[in-house]
Amino acid sequence: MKRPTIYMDNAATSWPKPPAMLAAMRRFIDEVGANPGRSGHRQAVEAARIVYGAREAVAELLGVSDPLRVVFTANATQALNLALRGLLVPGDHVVTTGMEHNSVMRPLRALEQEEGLALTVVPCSPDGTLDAGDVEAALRPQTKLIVVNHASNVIGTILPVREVAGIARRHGMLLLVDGAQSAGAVPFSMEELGVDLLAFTGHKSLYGPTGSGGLVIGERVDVERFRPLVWGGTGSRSESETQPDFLPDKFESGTLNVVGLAGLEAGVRWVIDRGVEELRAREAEMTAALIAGLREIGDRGTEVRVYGVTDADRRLPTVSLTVAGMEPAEVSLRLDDEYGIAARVGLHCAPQAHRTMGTSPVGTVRLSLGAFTTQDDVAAAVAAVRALAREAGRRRELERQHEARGEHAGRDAGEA
Amino acid sequence: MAARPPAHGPTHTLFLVPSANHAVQGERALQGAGIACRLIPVPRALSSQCGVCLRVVRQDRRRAEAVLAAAGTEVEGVHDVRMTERGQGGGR
Repeated sequence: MKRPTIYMDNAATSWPKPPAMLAAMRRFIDEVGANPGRSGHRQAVEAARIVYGAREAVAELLGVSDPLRVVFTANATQALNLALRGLLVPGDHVVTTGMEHNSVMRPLRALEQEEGLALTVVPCSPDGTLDAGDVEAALRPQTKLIVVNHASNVIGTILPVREVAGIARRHGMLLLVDGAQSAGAVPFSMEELGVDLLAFTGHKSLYGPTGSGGLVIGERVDVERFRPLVWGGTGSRSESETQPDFLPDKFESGTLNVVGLAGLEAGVRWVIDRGVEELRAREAEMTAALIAGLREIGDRGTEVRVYGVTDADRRLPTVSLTVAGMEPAEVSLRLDDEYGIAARVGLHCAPQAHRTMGTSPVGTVRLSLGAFTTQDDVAAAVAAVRALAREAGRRRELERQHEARGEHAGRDAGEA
Repeated sequence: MAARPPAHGPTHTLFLVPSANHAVQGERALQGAGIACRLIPVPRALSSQCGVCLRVVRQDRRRAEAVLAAAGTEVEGVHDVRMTERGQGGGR
């Protein structure tokens, strides 16, 4: 496939990937290939080492002292479903926020409708910020879990997870964090933050392949009472027809995506080597330039609206915008066709977040930067949006003139 | 590499662990401590599970026990066994 000139859809999945990712996946396919943990031969043992290596790398990056607490799933959505379906029972109350992705909202709504779960959605400000005090005010005696999006996939706003974690601890409940956007993008230690369950995906800021992700299960979680999503073979306790009760096997039935995990380990090692702080500082600089550039557009009747907080410390390099007079779908299509810029348009699987922002149901155009984005890319994106905004401005002016003429014609007709 | 195996008695110690995940965790800890080990299929006589266990030479048993305990690797059984030359090998 022809490479787009400028890839700005890193919040959907990062691209390109570090060459080491593909090299690790190729090595597994070419030289290892076996099923981890199922057999005792050297290839199988090497496959088990690769899987463990991926656990170790993820644990190191996310501040988890025991790699066996990293449970692999196909993606963050599956990890979130595992936590929600596995821990909640009818009658439980859950508090979540107005910035959640459908990977949280849909399983929660399903549990609400089918299993009698009680759910409170704490509103956020239109810029995506959450007042942790509102979370505390929403707690009830039956509240078992707080679910918070660490960073918005729509406007990049970082939510106050540390404060919410403190609230969860004080009130003796668990905190599940959706780290799909934050893992690898924001420097943090899960244990230091006080997060009990962290869902992550491998293919965004961990620079691994799609099909990799997982759930990190903290020490406060009662593994015994935590039901799996899938039961089956694990390579362990084969004499028993009941599921193993230990981590990570209890939640990892079926052969793992070893080729994907080989790539994930390489991606995470690449992030660790580059340094999350360094990657973030570079991206923050470009985000600031992008936002400043977009905000400067506004001459000659053009209007571009940029959503979210301006302060780079409180956001990811994910920028949502709208152009007055041009639908997001048209902006995105023309960015792609005429400028070679890959952007994502619409509601970004997060209708809740768009309602919070006041951009539902039309949505926004999202430009999300990554480790391989350059300042030239940012300048080109600003120039492209400026050109489209000017065209939209001219279009609006013509419409106004047309309407004025139409009204004039209407009056004439009425008088006749 | 281990010294010549004893003429009689056990040659190796096997550490049974819950899963291959734990086995690799233990392997890393032992290697980090300079103890040669190998992951091998669990002998049928010791367990009916189909996984792998950690094997070290018998002389390293005490040290290996301490290293695994320090690493937090869950050990479900420790068995001294006599294994043939063919199956022997300190490393990979």
